[in-house]
Amino acid sequence: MIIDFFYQLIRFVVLVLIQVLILNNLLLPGVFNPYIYPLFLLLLPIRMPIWLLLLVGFVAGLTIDLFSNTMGMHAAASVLLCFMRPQVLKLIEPSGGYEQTDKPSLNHMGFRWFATYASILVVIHHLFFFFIETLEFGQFGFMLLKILLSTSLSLLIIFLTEFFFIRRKSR
Amino acid sequence: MRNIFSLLVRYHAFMLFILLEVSSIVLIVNNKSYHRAAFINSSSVISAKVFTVYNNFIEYIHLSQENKRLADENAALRNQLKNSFYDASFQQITVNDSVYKQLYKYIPAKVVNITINKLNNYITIDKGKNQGVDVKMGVIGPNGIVGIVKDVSDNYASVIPVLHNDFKVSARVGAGGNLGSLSWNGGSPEFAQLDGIPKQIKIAVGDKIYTGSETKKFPENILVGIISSFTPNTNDNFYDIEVHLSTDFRSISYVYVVNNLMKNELENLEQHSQNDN
Repeated sequence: MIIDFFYQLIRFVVLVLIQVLILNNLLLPGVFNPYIYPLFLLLLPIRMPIWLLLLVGFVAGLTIDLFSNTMGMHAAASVLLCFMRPQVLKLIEPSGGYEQTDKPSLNHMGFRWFATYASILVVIHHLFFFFIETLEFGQFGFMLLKILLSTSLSLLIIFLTEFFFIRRKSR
Repeated sequence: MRNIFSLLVRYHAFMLFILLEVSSIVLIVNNKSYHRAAFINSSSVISAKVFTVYNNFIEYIHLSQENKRLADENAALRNQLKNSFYDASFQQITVNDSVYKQLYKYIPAKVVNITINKLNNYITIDKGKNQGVDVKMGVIGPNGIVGIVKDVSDNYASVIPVLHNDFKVSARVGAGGNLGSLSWNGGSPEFAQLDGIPKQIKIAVGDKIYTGSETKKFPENILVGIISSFTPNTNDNFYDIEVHLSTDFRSISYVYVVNNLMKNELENLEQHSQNDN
């Protein structure tokens, strides 16, 4: 239990650092804004109570906000992701339900399950985030292109990260 | 009462969700106001520390480029020194000059964090209140204008660069030309848009754009960029001008904060005359 907690904490710190030091500084055209930190929220334990999930999401979002001068925007998007997560988990529940030892990762649940799970939630997160970001500029065509391209890039990065950490024994 | 309580227990997740979303939105809205010193942003202590440590690593990579840039700037400044001019008039008498009073002071600062691919970008610099930086001061780089200080903490400040929705500065075409207003439309970080130049004025691609005289944040005639393209607007009397910014935000790492020593006097005077009306 405590070991698991430390795993989550280390993952959080590493993903936040990758996000704010590398991904936020990529010299890509403005339509590519990839975000890797939602992976931390995706990988939280399946049976985590929803109130705790929401609070963790809020804090994680605020941490990213703190580093990218987007006060509240990532927090709002992360809280929405956390709120939708139990619904999505229920939607794609394998027949026979989740086992006690299951973790919502590519390693445990296989690529097809994880791809569906991550895609739905990352799309929700990015839609909401870029929608808030665009509200004041009003360039909705640009926003749609940005959502499409940034979401694809984020998902690609998230899948690659998960593949990188896949364990040999479960193959 | 019991009903309310059981309702709370039953829908606690949804209520908490709404509560957290509302607090996020309050944060977003509060952060919009331009003059308010935002409580949490990149000039806050923790994030600024992280960026400084990271930046110290990254700096080594760009060291040679940066040295060259500084050397170039030194050379340019050296050219303006008195002893690099040939003194043609032997009769000249040296007097202790009390005619010119210093108007602008420059505080050199290092960029510790910068974003350029967002719709609202920010720069964090490593000088703050303790070094004399204050909100609404102008910031310029070796090649031209950079932005305006938004918030200051003790040792850091966050700057709104040209690449921000709230940024506006008056600018003119050529030295002494017509005044327009420069802003950014959220597109490429290399280009900004100049508005308010009347169609009857003759302009050409390659014309230089300088800061105007009535902006108190920047010295007059600081380079902004050059005209890269322009079209007459069909709806009004002005041109739509694309300006290629002279500052390369992708590679900027040292800037100067401009302190206008007579700004308070000017503002008090203007305030005073407005109140009289």
